Amino acid sequence: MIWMDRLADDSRLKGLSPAIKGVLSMFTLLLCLGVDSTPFSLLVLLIGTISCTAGAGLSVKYYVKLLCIPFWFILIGALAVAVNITPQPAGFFSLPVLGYYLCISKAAIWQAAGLFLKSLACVSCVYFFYVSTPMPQVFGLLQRMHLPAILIEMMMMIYRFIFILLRIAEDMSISQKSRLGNQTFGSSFRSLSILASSVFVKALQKSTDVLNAMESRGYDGAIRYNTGLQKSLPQYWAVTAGYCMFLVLLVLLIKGLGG
Amino acid sequence: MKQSQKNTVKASVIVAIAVLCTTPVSAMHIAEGFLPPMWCAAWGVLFLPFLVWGIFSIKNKCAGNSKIKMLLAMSGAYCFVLSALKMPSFTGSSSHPTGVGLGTVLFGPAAMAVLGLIVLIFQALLLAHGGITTLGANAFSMAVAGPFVGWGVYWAAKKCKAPAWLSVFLAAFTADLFTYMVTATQLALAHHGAEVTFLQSWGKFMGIFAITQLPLAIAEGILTVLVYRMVSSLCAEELRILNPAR
Repeated sequence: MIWMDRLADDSRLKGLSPAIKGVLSMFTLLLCLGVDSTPFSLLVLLIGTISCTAGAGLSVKYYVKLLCIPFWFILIGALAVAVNITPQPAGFFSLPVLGYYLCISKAAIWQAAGLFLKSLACVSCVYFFYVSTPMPQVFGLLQRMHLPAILIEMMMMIYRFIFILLRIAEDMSISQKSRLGNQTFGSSFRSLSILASSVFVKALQKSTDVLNAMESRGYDGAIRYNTGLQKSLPQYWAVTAGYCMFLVLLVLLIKGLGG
Repeated sequence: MKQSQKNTVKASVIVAIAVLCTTPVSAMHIAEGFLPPMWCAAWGVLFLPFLVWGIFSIKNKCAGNSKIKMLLAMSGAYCFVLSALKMPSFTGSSSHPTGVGLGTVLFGPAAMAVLGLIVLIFQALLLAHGGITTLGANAFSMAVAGPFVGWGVYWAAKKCKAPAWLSVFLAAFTADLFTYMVTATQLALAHHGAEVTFLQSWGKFMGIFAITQLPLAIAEGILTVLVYRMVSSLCAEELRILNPAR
C-alpha cells in the first residue's frame, strides 16, 4: 500500500496544476459514466492507460499492478449483474433453485460486460489523477475549493496517522506470525483481536505524543501551511478545454452512429 | 449429455459462483462506475445533511480543545487501518472487518459520519476500494445507515439492561448487516429494468450478501466484543472524552 503512495511523487506530471489534472480526470470520468456506451468506455480506458503510462510516466508493470487491485472486485460485481433470479426460466441458461430460476440471458451478459468495461475505464480515470497528484496537492486543491477547514484538517491528520498506525500494525503482525500466532483459526482470531486493540491503545498514546510535539512547536489549533500550488497557465486551460470539447464531439459521433 | 451429467455441470457452476462470491474483500463497497450518474448524485445529496451535522458536531467538540481533535484524527486513521487488516473467515478466504460497529460504539454516529467519509475517500484513493463517483452511496450505507442502526440497537440493548458484551455484539452485528442491506438496495435500485423487476433484483443482491456476509457479520461481532473489552478497560478516560454519551 505504501508503494502506491510514492507513485505520485515520481510522476512526470507532478508539476502540473492539480486543478487541471482534476478537471481532466473528473470530466472524462463523468462523461464515461453518463454516456454509458461500450465503445466509448473502451476509448476512455485507452486514454486512461496512455495518460497514466506515457503521460504521467508510470511504468506499465506498476499500472497493471494497480489495475489488478479492483479487478476481481469489478468482475464479481459484473457477474452478480449477469445472473438474474426469475420465477420462470428465461435466457439460454436457467437453473432451478427453491422454486425460482437462476437465469443468464444474452442481454444480461452484454449489460454485465459493458458495466465491467465502464467500471475499469472509470478506475483508469481516477488512477490518472492519483498517480500524477501527490496528496499534499490534493489537500491544497480542496482548500482552494473552500471545503470546511475542519474537514481538510482532519483529512490531513488522518492521512499522516494512517502510515504511522499501518507501520505499528505491520510490526505487530510480523511478531505474531513469528510466534505462530495464526496457526489455527481460533488463535488467528485471538491474535487479530489483540492486534486490533493494541493498535488502538497505541494510537491513543501516539495522539498525546503528537499533540505534545506540535504544541511545543507553537501549535495553536490550526495548521497553516503553504500549499505550494502551481499557477495554471492559460494555455494549459485552453488545451484542457480543447480536450473536453473533443471528447464531447466524439460522444456525439458515437451516439449518432449508434442511432 | 445425460440429465444427471447436466445436473452435475449445473452444480459445479453453482459451486464456482459461490466460491467466487467469497473471494472479494470487503465486497460491500460499490465499485467505481457501478452506479449511473443520477443515483450517484441522489445518494450524495442524501448524505449531505448528515455530513453537515457531523462537521458541526466535531467542530463544537474540538473548539478550544486540540486533544479531542487529535484523538478524533487518530480514531479515523484507526478505522482505516482496521479495514485494511485481514480477518480470518469461515470460508477460508480472507476478508476485512468493516469497523462500522466498533467505530459507532466508541465514537458515536455523528463523528462516524465525518470519519467514515474521510476513510472512504482514502480507501478509494489508496486502496482502490469503492470509488469517487460512488462515494455518496458508500458513505450513506457505511457512514450513516450502519452506524445509526448500530447506535440505536446499542442504546436499546443498554436500556434493556443487557450485559455490555451482548449490546456491543448486537450493535456490531446489526450495523454490519444493515450496511449490506442498504448496499444491496442501492445496487438493486440501479440495476433493474425491463427484464427483471426491482424486487427480483433486490432478492438477488440480498441473497448474495446473505450467503457471503452473514458469517462475516458474526465474526466481526465477536471481534468487536473482544476489542471493545480490552480497549474500554485500557483507555476509559480517552473514550469518555471522545463520546460522553456512551
